[in-house]
Amino acid sequence: MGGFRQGEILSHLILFARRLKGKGLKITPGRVMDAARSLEFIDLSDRNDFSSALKANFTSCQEDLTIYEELFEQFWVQIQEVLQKRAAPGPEELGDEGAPGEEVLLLSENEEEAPGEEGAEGEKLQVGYSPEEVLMVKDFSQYAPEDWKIIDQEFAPLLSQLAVRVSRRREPSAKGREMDFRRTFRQAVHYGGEVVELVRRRRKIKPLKMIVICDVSGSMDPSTRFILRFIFGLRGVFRQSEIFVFSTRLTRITDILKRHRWAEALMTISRQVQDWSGGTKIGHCLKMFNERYARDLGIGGAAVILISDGWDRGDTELLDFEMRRLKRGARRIIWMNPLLGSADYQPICQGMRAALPYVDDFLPATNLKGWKALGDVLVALSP
Amino acid sequence: MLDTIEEIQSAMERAKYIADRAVATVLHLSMKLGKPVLVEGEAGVGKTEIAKVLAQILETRLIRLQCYEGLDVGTALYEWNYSKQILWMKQAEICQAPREAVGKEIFSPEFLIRRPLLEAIQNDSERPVVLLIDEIDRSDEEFEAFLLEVLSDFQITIPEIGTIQAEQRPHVILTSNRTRELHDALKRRCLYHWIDYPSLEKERRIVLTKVPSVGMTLVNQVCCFMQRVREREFYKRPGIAETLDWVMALMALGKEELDEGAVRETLGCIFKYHQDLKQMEEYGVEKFLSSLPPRDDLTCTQIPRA
Repeated sequence: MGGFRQGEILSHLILFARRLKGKGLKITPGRVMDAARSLEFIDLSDRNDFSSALKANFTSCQEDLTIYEELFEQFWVQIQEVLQKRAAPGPEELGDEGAPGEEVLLLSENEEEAPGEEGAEGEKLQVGYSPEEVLMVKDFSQYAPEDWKIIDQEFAPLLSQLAVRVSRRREPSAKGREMDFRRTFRQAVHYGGEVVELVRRRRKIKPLKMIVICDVSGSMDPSTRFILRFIFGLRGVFRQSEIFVFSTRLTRITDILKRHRWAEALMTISRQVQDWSGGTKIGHCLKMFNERYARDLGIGGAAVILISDGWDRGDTELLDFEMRRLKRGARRIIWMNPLLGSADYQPICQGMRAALPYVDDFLPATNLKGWKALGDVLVALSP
Repeated sequence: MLDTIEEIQSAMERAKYIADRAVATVLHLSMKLGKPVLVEGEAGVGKTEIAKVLAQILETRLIRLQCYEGLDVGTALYEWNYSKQILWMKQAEICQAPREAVGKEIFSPEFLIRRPLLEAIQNDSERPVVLLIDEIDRSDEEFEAFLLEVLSDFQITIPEIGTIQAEQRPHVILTSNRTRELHDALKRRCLYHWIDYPSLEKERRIVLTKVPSVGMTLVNQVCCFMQRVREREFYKRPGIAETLDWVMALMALGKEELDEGAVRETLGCIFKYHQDLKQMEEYGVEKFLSSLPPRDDLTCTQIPRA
């Protein structure tokens, strides 16, 4: 491998990193710098080494790998072009080295920016990355903004009450079973080394885990945004939560909610959930949940909240089977139905009927009363 | 000595770890950049083994910190030996030793119980040790935050003694089974590597390396069988650890070839859950067997389709 100056590819590397960041990978200036340093230690002409070196620096979970592979291909082609252009390298090119440096700065500024303001810069970079994605972004503006203000006003105090109740219940008790020698001796210092007080401790209480599986299929459309807003709020109180949405496929959105502010989270979700407003296959999606996530996420002891109207186009036998499986693992199953709000609603559709025997609490999903009731259930379950 | 990716890869193979180039690259970078490696993957694909082998090829010590829920600083970093301190004080009382001296003595390194993290930072080995932080996802978030601090500065402060700075940074390998997401800050500090289930060829090489006395027919059949099993839906798909167990079990039973009876008798080596055993019966053992390579096919480059 010939003399391949780092400056030549650095600007491409930064662009690549930004694209990855645009796709949700956790890229920081520090990581980009380490990635650049990594390139010093490998053979740049070897595609596999090149890829695995950057992969180690830029990815941080299995889900990142596919995104990475997709974008790497394109990046590699660019790098090859750079290599070929190198036919006429001259000392004047040294001037280039300043430019990438500035970009590093840019990247770090980007980091500080409020997520909402990132748009313009980010979009420019994403040109050429499947325009269909833009079409996939659903327009949420059809909701009247004044409705939202009311909901927020009503919901915020509910959440803060909930937070107080949950945290109070987590106060450590003085009647622990184990001796805490470290603290006991620290205390003893105050009394000239004589042990006066025995400090006890007890095992840390685990906060309640909440798993939300929310239907975003077409039939749910009018209430979806409303519901997601509540889930987003609840996540702030029950930090140990996992959020999924589904219609024909199941998508995990925990990380999106964790990382973004509300408005941006909503955009990202609607961009990433490909089957938004599609049909419903509850049974199939629960199967995906049970098989792919239930074990890894440690469903035992969790409160599982299913939000759906129960209009299922899939197989009810499968739904029955998967509900039973879910019931076996979960501590409590709460089903929230947006139709339950209307007075004359009867759970007669097949899907709902199949699922009801396994449901501990059946609550309405489209009024504040239902969400308040959910809050009560969750507080009761909290340690 | 282990200055290139090739050298690391071949050294690992000599240490009986069949590593693909990607693993070697990540380890190489980790040593060059001084960054920890976070290894994730399904259970039983050899995550922990990486650290063991790394220690072996670097000819250094392996210090292991097994994480669990409720792991705290006292178990991970250091603890004073309280009972020894009390005895010492009592003894000093009887001998009427001067107070200041006793005070100094009982907070000297002699009374310190060194836990893995302290040991990794301060030790008398000539080369940097390998620190394995196993199953980090099982510890709680507080511990993760604390670990972050240790991993960024490689120094530890003990109020009674002072700050201890690592003379040589340990090579750090973290493993996770993804029972929960790790914090971004920790992930960013690390190089990431995902270990997948091995390909047929790789699995064969692993079995042949670990169990050299095994017959070719059995290896080919077992590995094909396992590849097939992993294509299906099971609660817990078997990893390489299970493959090795199974091969050894079959050899102990004197089998040179897979047959239905042998598979049924030893199914417990592959599946550890009742529901998976039941699932296997539903799929039908004979279906898996019918698609194995014939006895005389020693090349076995692909899984024959049923």
